[in-house]
Amino acid sequence: MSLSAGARSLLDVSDPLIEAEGLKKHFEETSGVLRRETQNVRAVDGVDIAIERGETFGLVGESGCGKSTLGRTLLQLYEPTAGTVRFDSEDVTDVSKSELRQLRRRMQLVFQDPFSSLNPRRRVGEIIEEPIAIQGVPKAERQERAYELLEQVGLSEEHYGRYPHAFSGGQRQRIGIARSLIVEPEFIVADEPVSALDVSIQAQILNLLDDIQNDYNLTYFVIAHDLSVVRHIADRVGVMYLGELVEIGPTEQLFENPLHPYTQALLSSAPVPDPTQRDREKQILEGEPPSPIDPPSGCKFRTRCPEAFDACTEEPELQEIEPNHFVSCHLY
Amino acid sequence: MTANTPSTTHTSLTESDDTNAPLLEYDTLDVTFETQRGDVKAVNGVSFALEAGEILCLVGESGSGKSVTAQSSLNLVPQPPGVIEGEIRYRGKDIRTASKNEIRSIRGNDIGIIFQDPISSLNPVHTVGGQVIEALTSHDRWSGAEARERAVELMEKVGIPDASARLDDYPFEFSGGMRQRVMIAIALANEPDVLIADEATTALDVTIEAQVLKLITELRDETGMGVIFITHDFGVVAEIADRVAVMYGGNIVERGEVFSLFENPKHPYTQGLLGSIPGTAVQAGADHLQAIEGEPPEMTDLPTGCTFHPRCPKAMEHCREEMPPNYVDSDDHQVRCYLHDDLPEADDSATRGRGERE
Amino acid sequence: MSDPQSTPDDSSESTPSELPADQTGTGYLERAQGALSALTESRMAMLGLVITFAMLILALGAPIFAPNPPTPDGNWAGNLENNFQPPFWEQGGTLEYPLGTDQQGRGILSRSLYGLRLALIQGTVPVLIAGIIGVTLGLVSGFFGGWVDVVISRVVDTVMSIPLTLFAIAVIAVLGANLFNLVLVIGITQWVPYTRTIRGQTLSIKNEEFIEAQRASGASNSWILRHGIFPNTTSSILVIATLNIAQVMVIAAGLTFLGLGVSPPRADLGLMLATGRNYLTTAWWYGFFPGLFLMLFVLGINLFGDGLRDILDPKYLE
Repeated sequence: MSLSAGARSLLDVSDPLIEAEGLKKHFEETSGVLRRETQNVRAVDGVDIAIERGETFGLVGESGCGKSTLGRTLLQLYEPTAGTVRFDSEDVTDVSKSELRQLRRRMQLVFQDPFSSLNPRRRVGEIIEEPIAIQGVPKAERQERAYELLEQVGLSEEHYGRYPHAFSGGQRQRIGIARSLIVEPEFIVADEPVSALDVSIQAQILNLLDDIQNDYNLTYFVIAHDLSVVRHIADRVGVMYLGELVEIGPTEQLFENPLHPYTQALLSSAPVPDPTQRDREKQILEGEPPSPIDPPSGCKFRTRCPEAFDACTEEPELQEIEPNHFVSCHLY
Repeated sequence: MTANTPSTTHTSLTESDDTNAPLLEYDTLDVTFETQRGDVKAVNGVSFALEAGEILCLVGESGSGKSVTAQSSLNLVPQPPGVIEGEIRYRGKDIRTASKNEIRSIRGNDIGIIFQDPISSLNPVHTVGGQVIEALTSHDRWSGAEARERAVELMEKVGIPDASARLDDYPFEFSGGMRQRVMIAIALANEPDVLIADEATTALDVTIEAQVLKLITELRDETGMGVIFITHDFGVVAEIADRVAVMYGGNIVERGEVFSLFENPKHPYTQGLLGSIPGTAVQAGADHLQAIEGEPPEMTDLPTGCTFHPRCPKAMEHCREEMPPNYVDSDDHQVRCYLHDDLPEADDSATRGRGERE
Repeated sequence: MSDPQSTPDDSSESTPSELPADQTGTGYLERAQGALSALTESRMAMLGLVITFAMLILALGAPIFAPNPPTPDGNWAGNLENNFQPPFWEQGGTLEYPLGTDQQGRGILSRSLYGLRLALIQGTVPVLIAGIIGVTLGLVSGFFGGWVDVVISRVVDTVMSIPLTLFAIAVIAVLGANLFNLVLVIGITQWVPYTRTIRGQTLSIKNEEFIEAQRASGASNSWILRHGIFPNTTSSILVIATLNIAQVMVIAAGLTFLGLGVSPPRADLGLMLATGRNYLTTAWWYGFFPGLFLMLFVLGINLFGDGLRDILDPKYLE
């Protein structure tokens, strides 16, 4: 499948660290009473994207849109059903297991749930060390690094020997971040890094992520459903719907001038913490998002789109409307 | 609006309605849990009132006591290990110490409640319609075919498409947003005067949340019911609240009318929360969010004096010693903070805390 | 000692929280301390622990405690003149043989104490064998799923359908009745509960995020099994194993009773029960005291194991 002009332009980034072309990830689920029927869950259904070294890319979308799957597929934690992923210009979709293990040093994942992302039977210091323990780094060196990282994320050396259950959600998230940093990665996928935390702690963690990005020269791929979080930290934003990217653009541009009807609805229905704006006109979408098992044909959003028309039975393609601002919609 | 009328009229709990009394009133509510690690004071002398037709948002983070406050109004807090003191009055009559039968008649009839996770609130082995009908028939106000008709009406009202067909579907066949609407339908089945929504939209996607919030405000407009909406999301508060009460460590630390609270937050905690939200204008241009230092308090080990003082950027000596009283300004905007001790103390006995922490 | 939550920390300055001084101990020490304190709250478990401990001391210290031990090469020298002496508090009994003697004049107390030692071996060794087999199979079938799981499950079904006694008779008839074969036979038939439980736990643990984190760091399957899954199953294993020891002791006594274990003249509780059967009315102490000792040991372990299960239930793991 050849790329559209828009997709080609999207992928034409000056210093890409991660690129994906035509990326798809489908899951087979057995269902039915006798588990005889298999259904194809099209979690990621054709994504082209290029992430520039050093940038923070924010991915938003609602539940079921495939954003978590996309993040993990980029890291090769899931094997793509179709398409390619390039890391630092090298195709990683088809590498050997040992090469992949080498690659793991350069990219990491920060999880959403601070309560299940740490092994309850290991001490915190050991948890943080584990990624380099796997690589074979000797104990003394590992421990040194772990102490350093504990300080860096706002904890202290003394926390090394404690168990996860002794820590609060925010502290555990710091531990998870420390763990991801110990290999000194270049790329971090953060999957809803703050959504399980209290509001006052969220701000601390967001600040921490900001600090370490500078210290480690990191490229971030942040997945979030909270638009205001994304607006605060991302340089560019991508909006996902049912496995596809429907709009991508620089943060402020996208928020000030959303092009895709879904983005518009998303932005206008998100609660705004300013009561003087409560009577603003809101585009409240009808209905529920369709299931990724049986998405609508053509433009997947047409069943809920207030502006759907005849052409929408055909799949739209990504086009560059403003500089660096892409949208996949027949309205343009 | 409704095609059929119930077989009995809506009986109110008290014979003599005190029409001046607020719809639902909490008077120095104390909830303590006796655990092995010590006593946990989840709710500490909380007092507030809900009037008919208003939406009151109870805001706080985890451990603030907001959910326990709501649950205690319908006797949903297990005692033991909970120990509850204080009064909760519905239309002037104390319902906290009401008999089991009285409580059962209030629950679902006069006061409806919806929770965060509809999956665990709906019985998975009964049809959705069955559960709505059960709510209707359990208070002897509808029966048989009338109940079924009314169930369809309710489901249509909460925006479930194809309602009469979906009556016979099971909860797992509904999506999260739809299940929440079913919960609302059940809660509203008997036309309660009060709706308590405990983090009702927290687990929902933004677009669905918008639908549900719209539904709740519309229902309030139509029926004049009072709503206590518990949340940690200030965006939701800004969208629907008439009045707001901010909770921290088991106390209400600030309360007031929503515009007043957002424009002029008085308590350092409220200021900190509003400042740490990425969305507020305060953040314009700032790289770092203004985070509140430290963590929410451990409920078994609450700080002495003002529960917020260890994290407060403006803490003074006095704050360590005693929990501040409730000060109120001319707009009935109340705050428990010594920074505002130039204001008069709120003299409404229902809002002054009892059992102050030393 | 409870494990208090760390005091509030903040992002700008690191605030050391109050921690116990010893942070270099192994994690097991910390958890053992916690478990021990929880244990003391359950009276049943404490009782079980005390009894078990007492029996353990007796068993291990048999050479010290037994008034009439065998010779160093295991010979029970019996004095036929002293046979069938009743316990010391009955007429005809002496303090030399406090619990009486058997038909060869050997002391019942001493023989019972040595029998406890054997019981200890007969209890723990099969559990070790069963545990290793069962846990490994459980981990593997739960983790890898697929055909591995199917095969192992079928093996489980098969083993479960074999009646233990018949199997024991068949095997020991071929291999001969001795301690080694006894513990072996019991060991290879007792592993099923381990597999079942561990498989179930593995299935749920492997979907936890911390396992995914290990994968994301390049961990091999072997690493994940050893450092991720297995450590989270140790509580269950401990509970199953503890109760299993008691079960297996009884099974071993039973099989020995049937003649499938050690043979006379070894001091085995099951053997003594078997022989004691013949003298129920004439020399009641013969079968009574070995039976009592066995029962106490098993009771103690069961009480302790139940208490352990209550504690190690996840919600107590705080």
